[in-house]
Amino acid sequence: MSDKEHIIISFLENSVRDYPDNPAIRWIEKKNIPEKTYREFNSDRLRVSHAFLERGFEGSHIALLGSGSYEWICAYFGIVGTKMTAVPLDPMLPVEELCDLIRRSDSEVLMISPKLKDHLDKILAECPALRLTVMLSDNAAGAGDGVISINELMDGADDASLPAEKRPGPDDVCTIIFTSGTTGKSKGVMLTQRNLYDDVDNVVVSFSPGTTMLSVLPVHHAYCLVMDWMKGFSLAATIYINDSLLHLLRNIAMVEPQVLLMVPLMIETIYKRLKAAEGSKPKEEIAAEVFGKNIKRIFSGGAHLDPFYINALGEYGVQVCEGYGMSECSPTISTNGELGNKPGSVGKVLANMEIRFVDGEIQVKGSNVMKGYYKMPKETEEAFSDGWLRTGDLGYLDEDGYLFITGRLKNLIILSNGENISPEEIENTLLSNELVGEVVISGENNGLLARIYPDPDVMERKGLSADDAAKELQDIINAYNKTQPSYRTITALTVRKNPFIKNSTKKIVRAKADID
Amino acid sequence: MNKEREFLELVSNYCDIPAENLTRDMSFREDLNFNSLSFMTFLGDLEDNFDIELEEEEALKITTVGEALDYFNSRMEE
Repeated sequence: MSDKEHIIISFLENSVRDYPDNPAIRWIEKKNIPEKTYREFNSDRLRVSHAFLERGFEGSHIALLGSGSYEWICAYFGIVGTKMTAVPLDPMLPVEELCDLIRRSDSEVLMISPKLKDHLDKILAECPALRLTVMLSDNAAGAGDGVISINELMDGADDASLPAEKRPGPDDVCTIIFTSGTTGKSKGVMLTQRNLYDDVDNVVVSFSPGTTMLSVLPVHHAYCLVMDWMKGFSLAATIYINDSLLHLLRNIAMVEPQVLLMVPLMIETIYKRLKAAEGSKPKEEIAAEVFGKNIKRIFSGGAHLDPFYINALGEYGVQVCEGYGMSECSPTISTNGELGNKPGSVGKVLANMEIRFVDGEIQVKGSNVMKGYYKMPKETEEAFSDGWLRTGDLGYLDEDGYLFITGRLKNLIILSNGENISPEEIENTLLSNELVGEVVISGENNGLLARIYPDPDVMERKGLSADDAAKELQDIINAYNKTQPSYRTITALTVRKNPFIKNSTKKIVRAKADID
Repeated sequence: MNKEREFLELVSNYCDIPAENLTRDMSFREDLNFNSLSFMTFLGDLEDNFDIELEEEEALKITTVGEALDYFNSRMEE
C-alpha cells in the first residue's frame, strides 16, 4: 500500500521540506528578475488558501483569467492546495465566451489579470454568481467597486500548514479545463487531484533539484500547467516565467534553461533561427547562442512534430522528445524521454495506463483519465466506451512498445501551436450570417481555410453578383476575425460555385470539401 | 543604412523576399507567410535591434508592412 496522498500539493510540500531556500519561481520584469524561494512561495500560496477559507469559499470553483505570472501561479496553488477547484481560462477568448465559461463552470470567484480589466464590467454584469473578484496584481485601483487585489486578499492571512480536514482528497476535482468540443461547445474537463498527481508521478524524468526551466506555453493549457509547473515543483526545479512570446528567443538565450516544454510551432521557428546562422560557425556554438549552454532536452507536445526537426535539432546537440496527450488525460498518454526516444513515435505509454485499439482508434484507461465533463453527462458518456476513453486518434504500437499516431477520427483541427480548433464552432458562428449558405472550415498551411458556398437565394434577393458575394463574404470573415483570438482567425477564404457533396443523411462530406 | 531600410531587411530575413521588393500593402500572414509566432519573434527582433519597447497588444493589431512601419516609426520617435 502506497503512503502517497495522491494530491498535487504534496509535490510542492516535499520540495519545500527538502529545498526550502532553492529559488522556485523567477519572472522577468523589464530588466529585473525577481524571485521567490520554495519557502516564500509556499508561504504565499498558503495565505491564498487561508484567505479563501476564511471568506467561506471552501468547495467553491474559482476562475483564473490571465497569462502566466507569479500571482497566477500563487493563486492556482493556493486554490488547489485546499478543497477548492481552479478553473483556468484562456485570456485570448472573446469576453462573451469567457462569460459563458464562468457561468457554466459555476465559478464564484474571478481572479483576473490587470491587463484584462476592460472585460470586468461585462463579466460582472453577466455573471451574477460571482461573489468576489480579485485582481492578479498588487493593487486593484481603478478596477471598480468591490474588486480587491491579491495582496489585499492575502493581507493578514495565516501561512501555517492546513489542518488535515482542510486538505483536498485524491478524488476531489482539482481543476476544470475547457477544451474544444466537436459539437461546437467547449467542454469542461474535470481533473481530480489523483488524475493530476498520477500523471506527474508517471512521467519519468530525473532532473536534479535546481534544474532551470523556462515556461513559455500558455498556463491555462494542461500541458504547461502540469508538466512545467506541477512536474517542475516535484523536481524542485527553478522555473522562469516567459513574459511574452515577443521575447521568447531573447529570454531563452538569457535564462539558458536546461529543459524546455514547447509546441511544434516554436521548435520550427527556432530551427529557422539556427539554420539562418549556419555556415558562420560550428553548430554547437550556434546552438549555445540560441539556447544557452545548458539545454539538455526539449519536450514537444500539443500537436504532431515532423520528425525532421527532431533529427535536425539533434545535429545541433539538442535532444527533442515528443509526447502525446489530451486534457482528458491530465494530459499525458505517452512520451519519449528517459525510457527511450524514437523519432516519429510519441513514445511509450505511461506505466499507470492501459491502451487498446478499436477499429484503429486509440482508447485508454488509467488513473490520470478525467472524471468526466462538468455538467455534460451526454458528452461524458460519449467520450467513453466500456470504461475506455476514446481519444479520437488513430494509431498503433510498434514491436518495441512505441506509440505511433496515424490520423484522426474527430474533426478537431490541431494547429502546430497546439491549439485545438473545433471547425463546427466556427462554422456555426459564420452560418448565423444569411449569405453563408454552407461552410466548411479546415486546417491549411497551419492556418484556417473557410470554404463557403454563398446562399443563392440571398444573392438573388440582394442582387449580388459572384464578385459582390465574394467581397461581402470577405467582409464577414474580417468582422469575425476581429472578435477572435489570433489562433482562431480565418486565414484564407475560398468561395464555392456549387454546394458541398453530401452523404445519404444530407451531411457535408468533409473529406470531399475540396471538390467543387 | 537608414532605419526604414534596416526594418525592411529584418522583415526580409523572415520571408526570403528581398527588402527592395517589399511594399506597404503586403500582408504579413498572406503575402509573406508569417505565422503567429514568427510575427512575435520578428517584433522581439525589432525591439532588440532598435532598442525600443513595443506594446504587445498594439503590435498584434498590425496586419501589413505599411502598418508595421508606421507603428515602428511612432515608437522610434518616443
